[in-house]
Amino acid sequence: MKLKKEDTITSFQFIFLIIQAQVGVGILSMPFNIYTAAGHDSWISVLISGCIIQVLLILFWILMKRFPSMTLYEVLDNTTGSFIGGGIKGLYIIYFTLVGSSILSLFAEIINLWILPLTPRWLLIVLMSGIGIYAVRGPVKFLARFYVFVSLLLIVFVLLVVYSFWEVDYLNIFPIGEKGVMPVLKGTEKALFSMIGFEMYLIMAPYVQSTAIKKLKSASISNVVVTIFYSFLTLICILFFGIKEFSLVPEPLLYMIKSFSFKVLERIDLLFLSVWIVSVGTSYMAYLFAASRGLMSFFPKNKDHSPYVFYVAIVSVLISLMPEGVYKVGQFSTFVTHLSYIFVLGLPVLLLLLSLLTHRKEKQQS
Amino acid sequence: MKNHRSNKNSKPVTMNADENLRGIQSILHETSDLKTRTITYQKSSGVIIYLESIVDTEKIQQSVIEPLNKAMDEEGTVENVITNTELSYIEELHEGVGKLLNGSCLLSLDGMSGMYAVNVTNQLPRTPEEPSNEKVVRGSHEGFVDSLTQNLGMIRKRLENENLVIKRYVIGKSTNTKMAVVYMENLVNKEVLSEIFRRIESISVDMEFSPGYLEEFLENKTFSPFPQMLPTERPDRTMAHLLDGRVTVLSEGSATALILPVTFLSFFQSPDDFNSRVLAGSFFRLLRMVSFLVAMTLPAFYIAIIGFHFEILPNELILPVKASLEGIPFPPIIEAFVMVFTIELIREAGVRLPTPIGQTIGIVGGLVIGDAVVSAGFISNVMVIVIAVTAVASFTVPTYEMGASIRILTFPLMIAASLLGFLGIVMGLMVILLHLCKLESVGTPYFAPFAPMNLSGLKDAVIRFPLWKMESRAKDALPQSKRQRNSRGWKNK
Repeated sequence: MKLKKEDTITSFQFIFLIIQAQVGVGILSMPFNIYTAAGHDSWISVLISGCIIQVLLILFWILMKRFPSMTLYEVLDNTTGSFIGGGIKGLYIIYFTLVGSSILSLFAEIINLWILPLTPRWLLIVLMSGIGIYAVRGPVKFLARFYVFVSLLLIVFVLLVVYSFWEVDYLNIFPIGEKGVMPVLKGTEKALFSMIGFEMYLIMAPYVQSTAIKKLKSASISNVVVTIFYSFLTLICILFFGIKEFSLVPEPLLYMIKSFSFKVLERIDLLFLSVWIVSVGTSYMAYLFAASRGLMSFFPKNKDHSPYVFYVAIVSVLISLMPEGVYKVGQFSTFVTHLSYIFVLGLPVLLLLLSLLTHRKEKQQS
Repeated sequence: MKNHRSNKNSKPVTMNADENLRGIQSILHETSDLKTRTITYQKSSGVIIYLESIVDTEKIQQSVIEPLNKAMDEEGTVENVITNTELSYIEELHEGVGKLLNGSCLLSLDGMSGMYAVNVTNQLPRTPEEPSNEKVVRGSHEGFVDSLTQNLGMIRKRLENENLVIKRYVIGKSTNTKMAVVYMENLVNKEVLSEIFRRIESISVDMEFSPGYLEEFLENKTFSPFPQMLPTERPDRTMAHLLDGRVTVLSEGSATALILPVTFLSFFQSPDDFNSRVLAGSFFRLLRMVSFLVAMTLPAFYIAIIGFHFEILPNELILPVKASLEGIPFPPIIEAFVMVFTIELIREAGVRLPTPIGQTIGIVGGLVIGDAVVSAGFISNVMVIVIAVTAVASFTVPTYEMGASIRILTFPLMIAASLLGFLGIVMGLMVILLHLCKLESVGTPYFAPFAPMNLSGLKDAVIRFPLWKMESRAKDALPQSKRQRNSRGWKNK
């Protein structure tokens, strides 16, 4: 065996990188958001969006296979030229920073609502961002190790939710498909936004030291896990609340868990929120990394993204402080999720077409 | 062993014995423990020079003077006559002085262009005792002593293996302390080994008096709260780690061996685990890990619950807790700090006192302060319980260093909990976890097998599997070969 000096991660770690980037701040309100569009067929929407993500992942895979040692940023330089590529790279950095800020914003909002109503938002945001800076500086492999370890917490997550099986009413999901196809498709759109994070494939793939097919396999596993996890959560929420109650609970998971009590712990939702904070942290870290990795690509001499993490974090903190109040924060995050149409769906697919048409490929070193 | 004292202006040994003696005296600044004895051998007069303080005069008498006297008139070189096992021929004065300081005596004869150095070191053996801070219930009760040679002997005795390699170094420009790096040639990872050598060779200090000194020069992150090398005084523990492909560093004058690279979990393992039965061993090991978490987070949890999340307590618990809090003048964070501070005081006072007084301190501290402080109404009952459990838990870790780092980590977590409640604890733990994930011990991951996650490693590290199930070595030190194969073959026949 060899001491690994270079900064690489294994395909096993890659699975958890994507899972942790996907599962994040949105998980608390996700069932509610989908429910408003798709009603009690929400769980179907989640499954459909999982399929769409799988298709996208395959497209990403085809694109990244042509440039095995490059991240999205280098691919942009390579296919569109350094001028246009530079512009799009800048837009991507802004996009990732915006997603990071919306995560911070939502995080502070929910903490204010649920645990610490009087703590100033800026303090929560700055602290979380500080942890992000500490995590992302340094090699990716350390970040990957952290992600794999904290994934154990997802099991706690699931166990807390599974407890509610004793309290559910199975009749709540019937009749299936009552409202027709359109609401389900609309719900799919909402679900897709909650599952954003898989675009990390475009950034992390070159760090994975394995064959191209294995990378796709890892990404698919993480997608399947997240899809099942999300549809399970949505399903349980529907079974638990039923139609009338659901529209009253914007954070259904928390309301559901809050209603249970054990002999030693009365408020399990506090425990649940504590676990959730870690998930928020990991998705923020992923976007922080993506944006600072993008800044690095503007300075070809530099081989380390660490110096840029600080700047990205400061910008994301400043942006996240701008929207105030539940509605402004909601608007801001809706705006950011709509941006992902362009950056997660549109541009990568265009890029793939462009590289296929122009027969651009990374030159293999023999 | 290369002598570091030799320098460019070193003088050669002359043909005249008196001149050599004067040269050595001037190099050693006429020190008074430098003794000489004149001798005549085969008609040429000469002199024996030695440092009285570190040689055994009996040995000089037996292995140098007597044989020389006997062979006075016979033909034969000095090599053939002197019976000592360690004899070397020296041509530089400074080299001779180096030998003198090592415990050799020098024999200089008129008409000879060099000197002979004969090793007559005075051995002051200390009997191996059980190390007081690493006691075990069963198993070996032998501990390292202060002599390097004796310690190396103890390791050799346990590992009769041709692959056991000992490399010697001299460190400390003023003290010239002898050090030994011990490893298994066939198991150790060559890159780790050369990295350790590289680090040791770059040490340039005046004095090296303990492995603690060495640790700071070798480790990656000095300001980390976690120890990155495992200090031990147990030869059996050292042997087990050597067989896991790790490297041991010993130094003269200290009974502590440093083992590196190590993982976080090595600090929670004790030789007792393997002396007791599988189930009991696993239970104790898990207990220690739980106690680590308890020691680190329990006061923080209590502070967070009292300060922020009282509603997390079930109805039946609220009343007793609330009742004990009644009339306490301080906020919980102050209470906790006062109690933790008191316990640290008692511990620090007890460590350096002789045992009978130490016990008195324990009684005064534990009973009198604990009881009085509650009845005086300064500190709540529950807080005393919480802090007492924390203190006991922090001492269950079998290594003193790790226990100390746990106690240090308690403070920031308590502050975080008093400021932000559960959120503060989670954020604090996240930082600690991130730090553990980033930490490396000589290029190998410190938090293995948790991060990077390694399921097969977990079975050896977290719970103690039956020995015949553990076929491969712990992977964190990146060793080269498997540990054993099918030791329970008799079951299949």
